[in-house]
Order: sequence, then structure tokens, then C-alpha cells
Amino acid sequence: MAEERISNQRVEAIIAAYGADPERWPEAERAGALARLERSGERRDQLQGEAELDALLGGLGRPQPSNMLKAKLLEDASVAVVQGASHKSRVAPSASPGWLGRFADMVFETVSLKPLALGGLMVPVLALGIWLGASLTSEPLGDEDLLAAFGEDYELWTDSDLPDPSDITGET
Amino acid sequence: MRSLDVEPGENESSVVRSQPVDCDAALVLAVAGGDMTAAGELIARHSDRIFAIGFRMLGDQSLAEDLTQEVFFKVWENAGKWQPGRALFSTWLHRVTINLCYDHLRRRREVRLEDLPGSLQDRPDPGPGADEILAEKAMSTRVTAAILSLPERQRAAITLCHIEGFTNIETADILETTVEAVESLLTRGRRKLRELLQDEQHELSGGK
Repeated sequence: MAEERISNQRVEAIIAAYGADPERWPEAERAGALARLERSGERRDQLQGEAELDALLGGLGRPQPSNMLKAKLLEDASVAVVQGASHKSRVAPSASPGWLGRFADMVFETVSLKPLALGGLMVPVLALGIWLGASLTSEPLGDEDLLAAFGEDYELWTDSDLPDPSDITGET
Repeated sequence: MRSLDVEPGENESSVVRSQPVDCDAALVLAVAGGDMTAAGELIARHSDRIFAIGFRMLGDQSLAEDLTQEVFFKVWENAGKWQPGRALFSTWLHRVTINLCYDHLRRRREVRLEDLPGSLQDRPDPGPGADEILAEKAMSTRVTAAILSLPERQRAAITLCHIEGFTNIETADILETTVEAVESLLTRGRRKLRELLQDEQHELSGGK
């Protein structure tokens, strides 16, 4: 019988970890644990205490994101996916714009020609930036600077240590 | 540097069981090819859960939304490198989510029990005759606060296994550990929650 293969201590450990609902118990041990519980009638107090905690956890409503979140995600996707996911020069979500972007925002806040104007200004502003960079105290590097320094290997210039999906070997 | 490389013997559970069908693999490949419809489908399938995990781990609506954006940015960024069959996309996605939560928590340090999230703390009064709703919300706030006070790995295990409904094996894969370690995290987490929520449990059982 299944219950003979599972000790009373193991049943206690299963309930303590997974709670009172047998559906959450490890599948391979479920039948044995249930059979032992039914036969012995032990662990009734433990089951009740865990069932109360289960009810508290189960009573938590599902948090809802703002209505804008999915729209933001689609907007991010349209930039990254359509323009090419391998391009590393785009700005990450929630990242603050670089100094050039902030400058352009300030100057062309009410003008719709910002992209064109930004391109036209790029050469003289960059030249000015090189001169200033040599003469002033350095500021935190922006995305453009990092791109220039490290190229398109995004992993080198983010502060994140997130995993690469191709590194996963757990499901071979 | 956190890695997804699995240490020898650390993840036996995933080796012995059969490979489940990865319903997302085709979508990820389509995204790599620039398919916005596939991107929208991935968002529809996973964003609510990513947000919910972020909220349970970080205790803040705004941070959880930022986190969700960061997670999906990683998806778009890595879609081209995806190798179907090596891992379930969902496992990778939730692993990224948990790791980003750890990064946020490391920057912010532990949330103290009395430091409740504003979105839960400052509920507007829903009006007269709403005592039950208020009581329910107060209970939910206390349970949420108790979860937020757990050490981060216990919090992650409880959130994934007990709130989001992942199995112990899936939770172990996401947390890059063994089923036995998950069980230990759950046991310690639940023990701590029972200590913190004694009054609530008493209230729930009608004071018996």
C-alpha cells in the first residue's frame, strides 16, 4: 500500500511545506500521504492551522496593473521588435534620456521637427561635446557614450547581470 | 554575476521528467522575425502574471510596472538568441522576473513590515455600509505586509508556489535550485507567516 512507503514525519513535512490542500502536494507522494492521513486521523490540528494560512494566502486579490501598462509594453515592443531586436543602441524602458536628448527636449519641446533638428545639430554638438569632455569634470556616461565605448554588445554596458536564454541547460 | 548555468546535480528534477510542450516557442521565434502580433500575444499571455509576481515581491504598483517593462524589454532583446527545446520560455521568463526583483530589492534593501505599500495603505474610503470590504482589504494588507517581510527567497517561493500556482518542480527551475530546497524555503516561509499572522488566522477561524 502507498501509505506504507511514506512515513508520518514525511506527511508532516509535506503539509508544513505545501499546506493543507492535497492538490498542492507532490504528485508522487499524494496518494500515500492521503491514505496515511485517513487511516491514522493524526495531524488534524496541523491540517487546520495550515488550511487557515492557505485561506489567507488564497484570499489575496490579484493585483491589477494600470490600464496603461499593456499599451506601454506594446509601444516598447514596436520600437524593439520592428526596428530590430538585435540593435542595441535603443534606450531601455524607463531609462532617462541622455544629455543630448534632454538638450533637444528642452530646445525643441514645442517644435515637431525635433528629429530633423536633432540630426542637424548632431555634428556641431558632438564637436562641442568632445571639447567640453576634455576640459570639464566627467559626468556619468550616457547610452551614446557606452555604445561608442563598447559597441553593440549590450551585455557589456548594462549594469544588469540577467541571464541569457541560450545559457539555460536545465531542460535538456 | 548571476548565471543560469546549472551546477551538476543541482537540477536533477528537470532532467528526469519529460519535456513539456513549449506553447510560447513559436511566438518567440516570430518576435525575432519582427512579428508584432506575436509580441502582442506574448504580452497578453504573460504580462499580468509578471506584474503580479513583481507586485508581491516588491510591494509597489509602480515598481512592479517598471519591472514588467524591463522583463519584456529583455524578451524583445533576447528573442533572436532563443533556442527552442533547450528550456521552456516560461521558465526563462519567470527566472528573469525573479532575478530582476532581486536586483530591485538589493538596491532598495528589505521592506520593513511597517513600511506598507502606498497603493494598499492609502485606500480611499469606499463609503458607508462597506465594513466588510474594508475588513477584507485590511486583512489583505496585513497578509501582503507579512509576505513582504519574508527573506527574498522565501518570498519568491511562497509567491510562485502558493500564490501563482507553480508546481514545486517549476518553482525549483525558476529559482535555479532543487525541489528539496524549495520545500525548505516554503516550510520556513509558511512558519514565519503563521507567526506573523496569528491574529488573522484566529480572526478567520471565528476566534475558536
